[in-house]
Amino acid sequence: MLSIKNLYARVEDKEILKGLTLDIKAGEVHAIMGPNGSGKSTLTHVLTGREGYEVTSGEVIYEGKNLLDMAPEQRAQEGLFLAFQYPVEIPGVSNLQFMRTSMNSIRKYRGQDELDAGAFLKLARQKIGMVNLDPEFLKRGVNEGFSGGEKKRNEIMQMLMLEPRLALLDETDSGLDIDALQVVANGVNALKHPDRAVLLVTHYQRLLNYIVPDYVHVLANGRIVKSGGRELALELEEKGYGWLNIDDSDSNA
Amino acid sequence: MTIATPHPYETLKQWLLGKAREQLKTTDAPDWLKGQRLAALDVFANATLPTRKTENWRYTPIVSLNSLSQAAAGDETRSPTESLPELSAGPSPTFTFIDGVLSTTPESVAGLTWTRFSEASDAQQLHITAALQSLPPQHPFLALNAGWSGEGLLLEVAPEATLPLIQIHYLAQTAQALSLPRIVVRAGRHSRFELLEVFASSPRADGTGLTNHAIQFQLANSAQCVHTVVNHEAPEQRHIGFVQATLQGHSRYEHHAFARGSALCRRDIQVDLSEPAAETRLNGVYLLNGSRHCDFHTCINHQAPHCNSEEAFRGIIGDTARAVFNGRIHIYRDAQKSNAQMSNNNLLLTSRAEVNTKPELEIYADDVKCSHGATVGQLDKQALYYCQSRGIPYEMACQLLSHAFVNELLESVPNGEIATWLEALAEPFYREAKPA
Repeated sequence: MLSIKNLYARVEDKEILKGLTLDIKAGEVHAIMGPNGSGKSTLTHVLTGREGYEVTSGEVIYEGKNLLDMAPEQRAQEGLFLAFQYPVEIPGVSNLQFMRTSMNSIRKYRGQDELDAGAFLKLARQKIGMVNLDPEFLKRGVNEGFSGGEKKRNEIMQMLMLEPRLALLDETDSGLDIDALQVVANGVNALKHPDRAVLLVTHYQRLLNYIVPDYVHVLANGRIVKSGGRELALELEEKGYGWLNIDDSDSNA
Repeated sequence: MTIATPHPYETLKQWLLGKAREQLKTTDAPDWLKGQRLAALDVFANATLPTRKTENWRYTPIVSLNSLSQAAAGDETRSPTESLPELSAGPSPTFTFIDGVLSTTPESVAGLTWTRFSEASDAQQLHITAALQSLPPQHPFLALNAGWSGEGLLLEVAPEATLPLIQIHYLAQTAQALSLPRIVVRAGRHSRFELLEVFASSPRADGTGLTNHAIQFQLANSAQCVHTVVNHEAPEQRHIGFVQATLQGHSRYEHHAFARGSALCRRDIQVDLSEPAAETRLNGVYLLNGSRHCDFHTCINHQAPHCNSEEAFRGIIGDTARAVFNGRIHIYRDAQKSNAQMSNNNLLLTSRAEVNTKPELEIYADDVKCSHGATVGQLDKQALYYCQSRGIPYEMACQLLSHAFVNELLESVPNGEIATWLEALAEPFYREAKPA
């Protein structure tokens, strides 16, 4: 589904990804862990096409297409979704209006009819219930005045509505209490499907108690330095990153 | 030896004066009114038309008025005007002015009397005279309006009355038409009413003249007025407007402005909180593209204690359009416990769009709460990316965020039908105005 080969990328003048290679197949759940500043968030923004994130070499093939050639909205329309680490507040645009515009843009791209208001509202109410948010949140401005946990739940609600083929979650677990963590995990688990894949970016092993990954990768200095199964996460939890002999010279430069 | 340079707008002034005097000669007005008109024209004759050196007209050149006298009727290039979407507000008593002439009036409305200036009773004459004479001398166009013998309309709202939505439509129909309507509204104690004024150009798109409009409100104790003014005129139209309201104790005046701007679009709004516990709210939205211009000069005078004022203007400026906002709050020495808030937020879509915004606070009382703020910014890049990451195309994301920027103010219009209608009026702007 996603094949990243020898990817180099920089933000402004700083090279962050330095030869990252990663393959994700449909049906799989991958977790990327790593110390702060290793390039985890950069990877997610490069994949979704954020302005200012420049790929200098390497390739990313998504469903047989060159992902890097696509505008950010096209990537989403093709089924890519990023749950943001810091969801953006958009005062004046209601959650409902935002999601309706989003869903209909995607449906239009896929040659489907727009959802009528009734069907859409029903779907939105169902999905917001799955993340334990009050339906009143649908009427509020997108993320406007939401607490940290509410924002993350709202991201998961959006993900459940859009049913992406490849979901990227950027530290969605950070700052969550156990209840919220459970909600996020339930959301991701509900999405699991042989046709879909999930890439979790996380700093802590904690989330992986609830979402069991098929593969765990350690990202350091812009490259995957170790890959393994679920047990690797437990090992990292126990020993930290030190035993991997990660060369920190670049990030400290 | 110095040679006096002629004032740049002397020719224009003389031309306008000539037109006004000609009108006065041919109009059949009662003597008291003619006297008032003549006096006002004298004020205009002695006034200096504003130039770039006139502080409160600094960013609004009136040069486009020159073509009123120069061009022969009908030879200006005109843009097609979009016809206005329908306002579905149910049956609503409506007055219509065509080229400044009152052409239709409603059937009788319980609680409302309306009188042409020329048909005013002795008592009404006193009110009209007082209104015409209460001119801020620094505004020559207000003097021109008072001196013009077009139609004047006195609206009187009976005490305790609650009126249905009243509408006044001003249609610019003939090329180069000069429209100078004057409205005086007197609202009795405890009355409640809502007035919608709409300035539009005829869909035949001949409306490229001058509208010089003035409306004055006298609100008695505890009267409540919601006043919405919509400028939706041809891009070539020139519009100079004036709104003034005097508020007695516990009365409330709420103003909602919606403007698409034009070659010259200027409105002065002055609210005098003359007795304790009077309250006002001034909201405005301007959406400018092309080379349109829009200037709001507001002035809230806190003359008495315990009065509140809230003011919020927001605008989006695209292409090479230009907006001006000047918000003045004057708190008099005896106006203790005044509460005044003002904000002006602007979104510039292009590098050639321009806004000049200035708060002006003059505070002479020491126990007041007063705040003001002005911002000028661009569409939030993070929010645009967030929208895109949800599959919303860039242009649509820009529209969504532009909409969000002003929508809060449009939604604050208390009449839901008008709020919805204003959103429909704004819709074409979001499609046309592209960030660059």
